[in-house]
Amino acid sequence: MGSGIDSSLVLFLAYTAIVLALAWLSHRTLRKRSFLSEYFLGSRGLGMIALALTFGATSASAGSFAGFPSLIYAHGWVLALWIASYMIFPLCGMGLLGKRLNLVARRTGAITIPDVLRERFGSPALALVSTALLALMLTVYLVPQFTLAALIMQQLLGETLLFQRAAFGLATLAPHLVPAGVSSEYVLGLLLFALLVVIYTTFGGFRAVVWTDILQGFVMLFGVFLMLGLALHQTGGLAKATRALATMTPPRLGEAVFEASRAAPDAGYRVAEDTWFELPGDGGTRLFRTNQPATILPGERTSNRVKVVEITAPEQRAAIRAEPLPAVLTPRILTMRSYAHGADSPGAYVRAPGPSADDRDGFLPLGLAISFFAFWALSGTGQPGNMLRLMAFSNTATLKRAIASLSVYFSLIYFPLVIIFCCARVLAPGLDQTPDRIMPAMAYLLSDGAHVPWLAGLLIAAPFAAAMSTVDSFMLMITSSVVRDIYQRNVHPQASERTLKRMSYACMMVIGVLATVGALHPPQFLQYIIVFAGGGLAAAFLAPVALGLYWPRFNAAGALAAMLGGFLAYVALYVAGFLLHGGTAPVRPLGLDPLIWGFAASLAFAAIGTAAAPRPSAEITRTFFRS
Amino acid sequence: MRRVSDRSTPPRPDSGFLRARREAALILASWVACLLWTITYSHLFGYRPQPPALVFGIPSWVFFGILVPWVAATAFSVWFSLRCMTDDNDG
Repeated sequence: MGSGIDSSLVLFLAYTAIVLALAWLSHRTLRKRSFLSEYFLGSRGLGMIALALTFGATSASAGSFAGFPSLIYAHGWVLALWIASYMIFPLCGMGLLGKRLNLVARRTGAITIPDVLRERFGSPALALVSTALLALMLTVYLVPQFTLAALIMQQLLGETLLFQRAAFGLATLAPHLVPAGVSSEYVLGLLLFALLVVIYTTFGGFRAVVWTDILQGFVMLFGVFLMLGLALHQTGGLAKATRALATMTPPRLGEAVFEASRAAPDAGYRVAEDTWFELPGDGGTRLFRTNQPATILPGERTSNRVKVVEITAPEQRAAIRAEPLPAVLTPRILTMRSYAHGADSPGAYVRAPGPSADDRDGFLPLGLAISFFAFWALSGTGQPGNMLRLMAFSNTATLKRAIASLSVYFSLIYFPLVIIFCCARVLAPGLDQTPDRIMPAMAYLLSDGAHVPWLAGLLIAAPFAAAMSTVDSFMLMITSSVVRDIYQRNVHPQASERTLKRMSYACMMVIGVLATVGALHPPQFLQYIIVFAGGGLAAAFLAPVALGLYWPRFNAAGALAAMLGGFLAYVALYVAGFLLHGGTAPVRPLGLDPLIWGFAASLAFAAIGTAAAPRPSAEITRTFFRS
Repeated sequence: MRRVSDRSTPPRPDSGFLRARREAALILASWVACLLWTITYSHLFGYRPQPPALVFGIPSWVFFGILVPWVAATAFSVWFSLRCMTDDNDG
């Protein structure tokens, strides 16, 4: 493990050096061109590879490499159905709006989405509302991305001596930076990530973001291919892995403590995370695995409560041998519960709707499967970050080739991820209470199994790259909203290029600091925040932009009604869920996701608002729809 | 007379706009086709209580309900984007 971890540090430093070099090169280009158009849109010069990979890398946030693998691990093959609309996502996401959006942006000189809306509808009010929604939701989206990146950084570098010393130094020299209940390793990881991403985005602008997206796109592809080969080799092939999965029954989840027969010595007693142990049961031996470390403090006899998983499938129990615990320690189970759907049911991991610990209907009932098929296509098409990229390509031929390339690229990423993490259930069972760890855990397991421990750093670079490529794009978008759509358009239209440049740099740093401060106290439910913010953006922006591009009669009142109506309907279902159930799960009428209802409401409000107000001016119609 | 005639005849819809709208309609139709194939097949064969047969190590409902349409959708996307989408005047 040691050499693997040292090599992780070397790989990370090499990666950082490349990213900073790209930022420097981009900064040199920036100095030779018009600042705003170059800094926020790369002078509309994206080529095929750049467009495909920047679109793909921005879409694939850290969720794709942290949240998605943990869901596959927890629920099995049904995740192929959950993600299935990625089969057509590149065509929808780029093809539906790409040509028109690019043309309109060129004709009007728009460099942000609120810019496009302002020109198309001739409405400063609409531009301001869209800017506010964009800045708000993107900032919400940034915090969990920073958190995930810091966690990955901690996983990547946490065991290296240099990192540990630096974290210790941070806790000693600047204790006020380390909040109570948060490790100094996490804070150090967060600060390193924030520093890197703020530096290269601030000084490089859009072009640096695109160049690093290309690098990150290749890192992700390489990481997935490598993991796929190793996972299939180490499970003995896909058929063997799926057959093993078919015999599995969902585990039981609970909590336990470890008790010592005598008071712990000065060094205390420690039971490591992921320790297997056995207890006698009615029908034979019961097999458990800890999912957290347990510690008995000096002079104490009982450990902290730790999450444990009980393996229930006889075939799995027979295949795993637990090392005996030290004689002085005895585990005691405090709570244990079965899955709400799929318990004692062999085959649950290879069928739909997939096992679920909490939901009696299973992980993916049919209504939710339909819902997600629409969700990914709508959400991806409606993301302002993706729309912005469609304003930046050089010509239609580039768009066409980029759609073709991205279709192949996503096929090579997403379906193989399902295979890899179905194999993970076979190779690394019993991590069901902390499934978010499965990506780094598999990276170390596979590289150790292949006797190439340094590979782990390369494999973990994939989710890190995914987080980085999303964060840099969103920081740039928030900055463009503030500098272009608020300051230049409304406060100081005659601002010099130098002033705009300084404002952009300052704004980028402020956003970086705010997101870092937000992530200092790691928020819970990261994946839910990401899904919520992404869905909210799509509910607000998809209908106004799409109808604005394709419906000549669509007017400013309709666009404003569509934006606010879609967003508020979407948020209302989350608020209703919180009020009714007290959790983060939204209300899903007819089993459909709030984004579907938000989009439907947005379309309805668009029709009502448009009918209630006069047609757009003849000049707008002529500019955007007539030859 | 000529000025009156010019005012009464509105400019024609932009041909690039009409082509983009037709292509968008076809893309939406292809999304619906993928939805129908995937959801119908998975509903019929994936939600059964019996363990599924395997095809190349993949549960058969995933293979025919998701992987096959995925490959078809990718091939269609490549063909549609390279062969059917038109090159327009890029301003």
